[in-house]
Amino acid sequence: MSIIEVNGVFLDYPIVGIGSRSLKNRILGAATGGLISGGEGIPVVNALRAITFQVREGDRLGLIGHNGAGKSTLLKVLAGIYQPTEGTLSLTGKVVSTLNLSIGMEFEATGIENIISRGLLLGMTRKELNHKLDEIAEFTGLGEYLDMPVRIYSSGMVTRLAFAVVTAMNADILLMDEVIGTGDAAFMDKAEKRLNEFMSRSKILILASHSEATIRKFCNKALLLEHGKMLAIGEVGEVFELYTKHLESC
Amino acid sequence: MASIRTSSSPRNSALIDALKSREIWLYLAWQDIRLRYRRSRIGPFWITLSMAIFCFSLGVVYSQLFKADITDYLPFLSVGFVIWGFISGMLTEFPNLYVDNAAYIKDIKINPFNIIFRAVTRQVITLLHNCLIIVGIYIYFGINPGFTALLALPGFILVALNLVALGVSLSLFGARFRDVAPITQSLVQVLFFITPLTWFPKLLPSDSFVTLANPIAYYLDLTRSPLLGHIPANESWAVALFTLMVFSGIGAWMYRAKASRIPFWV
Repeated sequence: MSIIEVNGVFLDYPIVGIGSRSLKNRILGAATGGLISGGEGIPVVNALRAITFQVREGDRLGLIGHNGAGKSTLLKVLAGIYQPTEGTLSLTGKVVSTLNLSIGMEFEATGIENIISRGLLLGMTRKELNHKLDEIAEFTGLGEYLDMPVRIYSSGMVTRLAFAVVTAMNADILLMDEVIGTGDAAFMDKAEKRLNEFMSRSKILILASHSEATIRKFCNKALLLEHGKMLAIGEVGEVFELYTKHLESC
Repeated sequence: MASIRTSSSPRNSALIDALKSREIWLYLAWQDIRLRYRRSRIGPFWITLSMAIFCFSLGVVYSQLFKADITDYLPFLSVGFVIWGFISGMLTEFPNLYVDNAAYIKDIKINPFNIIFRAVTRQVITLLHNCLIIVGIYIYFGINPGFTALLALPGFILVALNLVALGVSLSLFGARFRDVAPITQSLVQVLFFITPLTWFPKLLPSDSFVTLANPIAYYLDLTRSPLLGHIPANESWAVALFTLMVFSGIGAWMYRAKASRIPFWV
């Protein structure tokens, strides 16, 4: 049984290296981003404040909010990259996060080598990888290019490669930042099918996106964030209604 | 596969986790070396070559300066310099380690020890390339250090452990304060001159603080002496074990307190 429990999570993001108070004050009034406050030394962004929610198996949760509302930060906290300043968080199940598709791409190495290194970094074992390598290689449709350095690839080819590896993972809990944008039209159909399979294999999906259509398509629940605070969580339609109202009142 | 994480649980098993997931860092370290071979045919041997040229020219000049026999001086200098290459390489790499790997750290949950071990493995493979110089010296000067040379292996392991332990805190420090990297670089340069690398330790009075207070001098004794057929001094083992305990203690303390801050700093 996969489950995510987030209890009163706060995250203060220290801005190391910017000691200047004037900059701090300037950002304080800005329209986007979390609240910025500072103690004696290092200025701090209160990136997340009092986040509490529960996600059960089968839930597909969409994170919505304006730029800098804390969507990506929340995903990074769930992925275990950022440790919360306060509060507790528990995730049961194997977590796979696809926050940045091209992370760890070594451009001098060949396509195959990149499949292996990225697979290992994402949490596959070598045995699993050997097992899946053919399938991943075939899906990329890159053929002989897989034995050439990634540096000569077009950006679309790089995306194909990265996409193929990530979607080969088996995750109980899948964390995604925007739906993976993909290559040309011919690849699109294939990719969409694979993406849908990938997401339906996971028991829990948490997806941050600016696209209302995307959230409506993939999610059954939505969470609205603003300035690092949770404004609402619930059924997708209702939350979007609130979000629209909120935007108008601004 | 199930895992439960709470924000309060300390990551004290990070070291063990990294040892278990050696597939990752071994593969990445090998890949680093492979790529160097791909870019140039002789790969990391470029470092070996420049090191050999450095040792040869310095050896010829300094043996005359110190009025030392070149058959003593050149082996002493070359073996020491190969080991120094490893030590200085590690010391200068650590402060930049997390900044250089920021792309991974910011977007994926990665165990910092995986990053450390990848760097160390790469340095060890580079060292093995440079050992060709030692082999060349043995052949040219007809040196046979005998079974004593085997003592270099435990000595080297102890030295490497010291550097890894020091690296844990040095890399954290370097991620938080960016000027640690240039400071380390200058310190390493100074260390090169105050460590008995280009000059024989016997040229100093035996109670000189220059060699007594410099841990690198003991590390060199543990590795260089056996390779030249001498048994290292007992103090060298004792000092290296002592510094290992100190460095591990500081490293463990700093890691526990600060490792979770790395993604915010890089």
